Amino acid sequence: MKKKIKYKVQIYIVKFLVLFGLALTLSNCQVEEEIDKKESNIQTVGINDAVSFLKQNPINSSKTGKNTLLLPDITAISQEKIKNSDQLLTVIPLSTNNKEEYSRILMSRINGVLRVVVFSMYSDKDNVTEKFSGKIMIRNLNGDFLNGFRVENGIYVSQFQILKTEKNITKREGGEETPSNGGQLNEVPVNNPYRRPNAATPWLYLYNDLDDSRGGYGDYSWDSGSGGGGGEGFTPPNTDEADPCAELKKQNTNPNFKSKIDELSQKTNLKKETGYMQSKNGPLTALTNLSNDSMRLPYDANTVGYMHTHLDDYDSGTVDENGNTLINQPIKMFSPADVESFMILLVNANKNGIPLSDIYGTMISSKGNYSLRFEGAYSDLNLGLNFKELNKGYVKIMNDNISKELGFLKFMKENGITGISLFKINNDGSTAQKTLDVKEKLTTTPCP
Amino acid sequence: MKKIIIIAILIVCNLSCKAQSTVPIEKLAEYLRVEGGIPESVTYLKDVNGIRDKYVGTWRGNYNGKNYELVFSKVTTKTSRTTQDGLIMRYLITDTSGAVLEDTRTEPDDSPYTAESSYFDKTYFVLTYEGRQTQCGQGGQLFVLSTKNTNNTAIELFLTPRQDFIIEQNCPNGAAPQLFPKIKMTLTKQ
Repeated sequence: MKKKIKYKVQIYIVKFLVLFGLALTLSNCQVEEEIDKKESNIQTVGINDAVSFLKQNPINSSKTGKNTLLLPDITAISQEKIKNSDQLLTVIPLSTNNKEEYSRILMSRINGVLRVVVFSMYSDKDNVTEKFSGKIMIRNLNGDFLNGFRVENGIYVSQFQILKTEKNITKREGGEETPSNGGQLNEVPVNNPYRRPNAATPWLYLYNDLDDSRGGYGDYSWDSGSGGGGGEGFTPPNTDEADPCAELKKQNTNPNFKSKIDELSQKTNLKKETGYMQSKNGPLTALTNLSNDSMRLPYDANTVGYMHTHLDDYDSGTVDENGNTLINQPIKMFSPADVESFMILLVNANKNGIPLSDIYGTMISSKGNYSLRFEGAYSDLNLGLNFKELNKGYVKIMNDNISKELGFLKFMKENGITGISLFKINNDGSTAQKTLDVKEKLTTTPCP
Repeated sequence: MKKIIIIAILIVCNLSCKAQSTVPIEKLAEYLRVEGGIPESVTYLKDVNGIRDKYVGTWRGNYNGKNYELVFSKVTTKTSRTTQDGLIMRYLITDTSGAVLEDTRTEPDDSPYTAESSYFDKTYFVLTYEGRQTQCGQGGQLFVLSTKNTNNTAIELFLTPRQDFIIEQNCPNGAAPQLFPKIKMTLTKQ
């Protein structure tokens, strides 16, 4: 009797597995079909095809108003990654590239048609960051203007469009702005520039006449790099730019930054907080006192972050009725005002086209160094919060929790502050993110 | 016999465990000093020794051209984890001509301008204090001290100002003046 039942059960299990496996394979096939459909829109142009095309089709410049031949540097031809596609963009730099103008010919086959544009980058003269700041102009082979952008620190802040007038060709100064097709350029701000992946050019910017009504092109982009210059060719893609672990690693291995952290670590035994603020081009400026007890935090269009000390316990200078010293015990974790300051820097960054992932706040104490980084969408920021009302609750939560990390995360959660992440910076420069799990327990995730 | 011993142990354990979860409010200062916070086993900080009675009521004093009237009242607050007996403080501050510099006497308990105790010790307690100009630095921790040999008719008070950033753009007139003294002052019971 038992054997019969066992046998029956086995049969059922086998039947089930077979059906399940079948269902899986069928659904897999379906998914693959969809991907193929998308991929076929864009196809790589082979190197040989690209070279023979260039030999047969000269490229003209609009600069002098006459047809000047631009020479591609065929020896520097490369095929570069297109994000979210397994096809490649064929890229040929011009042999005349220099610090002022860095131009590359881009080739792709879109819906079977060979599409060629000249992508030119004009770097701002005082730009010293790794990300591109300046103007980008996209033209056809005749030198006609197709599309253009103003970029600040990797963010596409405004777009150039042709003002449709019948006026004459305007006199050129720099040469990069005026299209040879006789119009003037109008500059229009780009909506939500902060959402663009750093340094990546969206596909629809490169080929702005594509029909994206059925979607698909919006996912593709190409890392146009920081403006190269001098025929350097391929610039390594800035992946992980928005990853706080990578940002923190870059920061904590920077000798200038590190020296300031070390310096502040020696100052936690003072009776006054000290610190630095940082501007986007790198310089760290010491924070000055606004009063005997507080530091001023100024910010401008370039401010990206602050670092400051929270003090060790210290003698208040007063005794109780028994002559015992009364000790001040500052909380060695970000205060509500620190969080508010960080949020103000995010608002400032959003307004000024600084990537939100660049913004930081750092606290240095004898019980550990910590950083705040933003990982959310700007729209998630709880900007309506009245920080005045938060101090009493903050002190109570911090007293409730022996772990200040845990207390801080609970404070943030209780007040609906999302998108702001807490990182611990270890002595060796490595970092780890601190989070609350579903049971409100502290979780530590080391950065790679 | 075995059963009785087990039951006995269980009862003793239960009792002592329960006792552990409630502690006198003046233990908090020690917890902060030694452990940095309230241990998880503690859920109720109760004023079993009536320490707050020393401070409850109205107190007056003056210092450096300002007149102070402080009113302390008992309160019990709950966080997500603990219940704590404490004190809140409302106040009136006037200058020598009688002009009101600040008056929070009618503020509700949970107003940011009603100072609230953060921890107690046997001879003093500390309040979290925010002035109306807290954004420009007006705030900090107020220490309130009991005094010996005064029959509870005098207390002392001083402020440790907050050291947070002041966002320059928010305070074009610079840092706001502190309304409470950083040097100990004396107040007498009314």
